Amino acid sequence: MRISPLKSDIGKVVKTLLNKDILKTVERPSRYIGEEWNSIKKDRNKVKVLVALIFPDVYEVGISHLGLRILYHIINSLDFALAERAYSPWIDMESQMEKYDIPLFTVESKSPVSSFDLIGFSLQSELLYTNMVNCLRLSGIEPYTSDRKDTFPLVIAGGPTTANPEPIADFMDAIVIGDGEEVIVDMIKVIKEAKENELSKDYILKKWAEIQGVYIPSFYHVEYLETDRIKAVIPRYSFCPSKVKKAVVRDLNEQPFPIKQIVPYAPAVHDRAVVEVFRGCNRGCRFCQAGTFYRPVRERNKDSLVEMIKDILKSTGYEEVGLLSLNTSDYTSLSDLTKEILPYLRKKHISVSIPSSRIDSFDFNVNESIDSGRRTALTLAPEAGTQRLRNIINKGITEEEIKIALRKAYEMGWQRIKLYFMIGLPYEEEKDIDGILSLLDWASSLGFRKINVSISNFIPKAWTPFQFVRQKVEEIYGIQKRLKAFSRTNRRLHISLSSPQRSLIEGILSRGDRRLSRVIYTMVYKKNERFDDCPDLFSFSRWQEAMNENGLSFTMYTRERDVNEILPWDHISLGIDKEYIKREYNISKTGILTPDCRWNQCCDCGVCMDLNVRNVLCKIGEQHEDRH
Amino acid sequence: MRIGIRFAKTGFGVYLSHLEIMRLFARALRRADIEVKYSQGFNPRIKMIFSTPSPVGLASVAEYAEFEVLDEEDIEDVKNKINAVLPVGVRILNAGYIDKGISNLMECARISEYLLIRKVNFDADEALLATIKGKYERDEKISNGKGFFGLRTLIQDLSVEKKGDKIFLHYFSHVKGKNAIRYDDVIRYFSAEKGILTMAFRLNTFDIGKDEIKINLNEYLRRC
Repeated sequence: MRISPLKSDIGKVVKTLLNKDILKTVERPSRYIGEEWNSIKKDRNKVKVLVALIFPDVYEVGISHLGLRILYHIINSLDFALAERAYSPWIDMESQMEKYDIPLFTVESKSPVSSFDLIGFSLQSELLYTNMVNCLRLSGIEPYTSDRKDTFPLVIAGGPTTANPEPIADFMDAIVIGDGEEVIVDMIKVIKEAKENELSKDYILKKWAEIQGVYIPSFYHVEYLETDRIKAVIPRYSFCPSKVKKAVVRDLNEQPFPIKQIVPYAPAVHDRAVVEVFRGCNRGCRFCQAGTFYRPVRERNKDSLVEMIKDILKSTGYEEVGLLSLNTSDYTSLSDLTKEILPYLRKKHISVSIPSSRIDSFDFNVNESIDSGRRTALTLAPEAGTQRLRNIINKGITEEEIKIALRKAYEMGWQRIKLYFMIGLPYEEEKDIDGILSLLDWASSLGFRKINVSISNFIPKAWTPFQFVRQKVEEIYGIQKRLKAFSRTNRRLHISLSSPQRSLIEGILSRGDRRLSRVIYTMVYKKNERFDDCPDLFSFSRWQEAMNENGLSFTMYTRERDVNEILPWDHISLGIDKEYIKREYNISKTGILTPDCRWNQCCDCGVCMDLNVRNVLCKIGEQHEDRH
Repeated sequence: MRIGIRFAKTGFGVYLSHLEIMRLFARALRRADIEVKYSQGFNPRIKMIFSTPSPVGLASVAEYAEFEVLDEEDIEDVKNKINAVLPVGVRILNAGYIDKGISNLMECARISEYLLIRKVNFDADEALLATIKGKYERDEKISNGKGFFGLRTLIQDLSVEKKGDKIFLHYFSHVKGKNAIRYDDVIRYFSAEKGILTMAFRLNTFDIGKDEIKINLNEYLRRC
C-alpha cells in the first residue's frame, strides 16, 4: 500500500498560516492552534501508525466529546502509534484555507490529514454527514472508498449514528459499530503489520472484517426490489458475517480512562472535566437509540471514580466536573460517590454537574448537596403530554411524579427550569398536545420565574422499537403553530421548537440506505453545502434538489416500514433481538410498560446472550425507592 | 498577599483572546496547587486582575496580571510552579509581591512600547522609509477611532530603520484614554501595500510619573 502525500507537505501549513497572517483574520483563532494543556505531541518519525481523529463539527463542539478523548488517549498510549485531532474549520477559516490552498490539518503538528495512515471520524449526528464528507474534500482525499485504490489513508467512522451505517457506506473503508476502545487497537495493529510487510489495502480490510464490531461496507452488496425496498444484502466473501455484531466492552473498570484531559483555550460547549459514571441505559424508552446502541449498563466502580475525579481535576485545573452517563441519577452509588468527593471539591471551589437526570430517579437530596449555591436551571424531561402517550413510548414516569418533582423543585428554590417534550410521536393525538399545554400551565402557576421548554420533533431511528413507524412531517407544522400561539399567552414560558425540515433530513439519513451516499456527495461537492446542524447554513431546498437529482424522494424514506421487510440496517447487529424490537413495537400501542432489567426481570432483549455480556452494577440488588 | 506577574505571549499564544488568557491562568493556578483568594458569592472565582491585555495577534513580553495568595511562599517558587503548568506560548517572566498601598497594575499601565517588524518589498524600501519619516515630521493626522490627532500625539518617539530586508518601527503609545491607539491601526496607517506580514510586539509597559517620566512596571513587582 502506498503512502500518498509527499513529506514536504508537512510544515507547509504552518508557514502559510503565519505568512499570510490567516489566523488574525478568522473568528476565534484558538480553534486552530492546538498547543492546549495536556494535548499530546508525539514524533511522527518514531511511530509506525499515524491516526487522525476528526470530529466533523467546530472545535468547541468536538473538543467536548468524550468518545474521541478516550480514543485519543488509548492510541497515544501505544508506543507504535500516534493520534492527532482535527475539526471542521468554521466557514471563515474554510474560505481562507481554500484561498491559500491549505488542506485540512491536525491541530497538534499541523500536518495535512491526508498524510496520516488512518482517519477516524466520530459521528454523533446524521446532520454531520455533510461535514464529514466536506472534511475529506478539504483534505484532498477521494470521498468514495472505491476511488481511493491502494493508498493510505484509510477512512473509518464510529459513533451512535452507525446503528445504521448505510448512508455513509460508500465513503468508508470500515465502520466501527459499538464501543471503540478495544477495536481501535486491533485495527491499528493490522495497519502496523501491513506497513511493515507492505501488504495491500485489501489485506487490511479482510483482516479488519474478522474483528467484532468492524463493518466493511464494500464487502456487502445490496440488491433493491423494484419498489423502494431492499431485496437482499449479500456478503461478497464467505468469511464475512451475515450480521456484523457490535463491539462491546464487557466491564468499563477494565478500560483506561483519560486522566490528563485536554484543556481547551476556546470555550468548549462542555468546558469541564468529565468522568463516565456508566455506559448504557436499560430504561427502554421506545424512541431512544442510545438505549439500544449502548446496552447493557456498565457502571464504573465508585472508589475508582473518586480517585479518577481527583486526578483529572489535578491535571486539568478545571473548575467543574461532569458526571456523565445517559442518566446519572440511575447510578447505584451516586449518593456515596457525591458524599465522598464533596469535601475535596468544596475545598477546591469545584462544582459538579449532572447533565441528564430522569424525573423518577432524580434525587433532590443529592442535588441539594452537590450544588453549593450555584443555581442554574433544573432540567426535567416528561417527553409527552399525557400518561397514555408516555406509556406508549415506555417513558415510565407518571403524571404524579412529574408534578411532585416540579413542586419540590420550586420549594427548593429553583427559579428557572427546563422541560423537554417531543412531538410527532407515534399514536399521538390532539389530546396529547393538550396535555403538554396543560402541564405547562400548571407548572407556570407554581410560580417559576422562567420555564424554558424545548420541544423537539420525534425522529424514528434504526434499532429502536419505533424504527418501523412513519416519520410525521406535515403534522409537525400544525402542532408547532399551536404551540407558538400558546407561548404568546404566557410570558413565563419560552418555547423553543426545532426545524421540521432539518428533522426531516435527519430522519431520512437515520433510516436511509446506501443510495444516500450519492446524495450526501452531491450536497458537498456540487452544492457546496455543510454544517446542516447550523440553522443559518442549512438549506432544505438544496437537499430537495440533491434527492431529485439522484432519483430519490423523501417519502421513500419517511414511510412506515413493514415489520417483515428487510431494513437497510438489518445486517448490523447491536445484539438486540429483532423479535424484541418487533414485540416492543407491537405492545407499544397498548401502552404496556416494559420495565428496566436492572431492577426487574429480564426483558429478553437478547443483548446479554448474543454479546456474552451482562449489566455491571456497583451495588447489586438495590431497588430504587421513591426518593422524593 | 498580592502577587504581580509580568508574562509573555508568543508563538501561537498570540492568537489567544483576553478571555481565553484569563481562563488559562485560573486553571493554571489550580493545577499549580497555589492557594489563591476567590471571590465571594454563589459562584466563587479566582480573583485575578489583568492590565490592558494586548489584542489577538499582538505578541507581547509585557502583559501584567495580579492575584492574591493565602500563604507567603518564595516568589521564585510561585513563578516556577505556575510556569511548569502553563501551555507553551504563555510564560511568566517576572513575579513579585506588591505592597498593600500600591494601586493595582491595571491603573498603573499607561504607556506601552511597541516594535513592528515588516518585510520590505524589494526596491520600495527607501521610498517607504522616507514616506513614514515625512509623515511623522509633518505631524499628519491619524485616526484612533475616537477622532483625528497628530501623529506625534498618538505615536511617541517613533524611530524607523531598515535592517536587512526588514523595516523596524519602534514607538510608544498610550494603552487607554483618548490618546490611545491600537497597534493594528498603526500598521494600517504605515502600510502602503496590503498582504505583507507585519510582526507586532509589545515590549514594555510603563506608568507615568512626574514630568512624564516613564516608570517601568517591573518596579512594582520588586517593591516587596
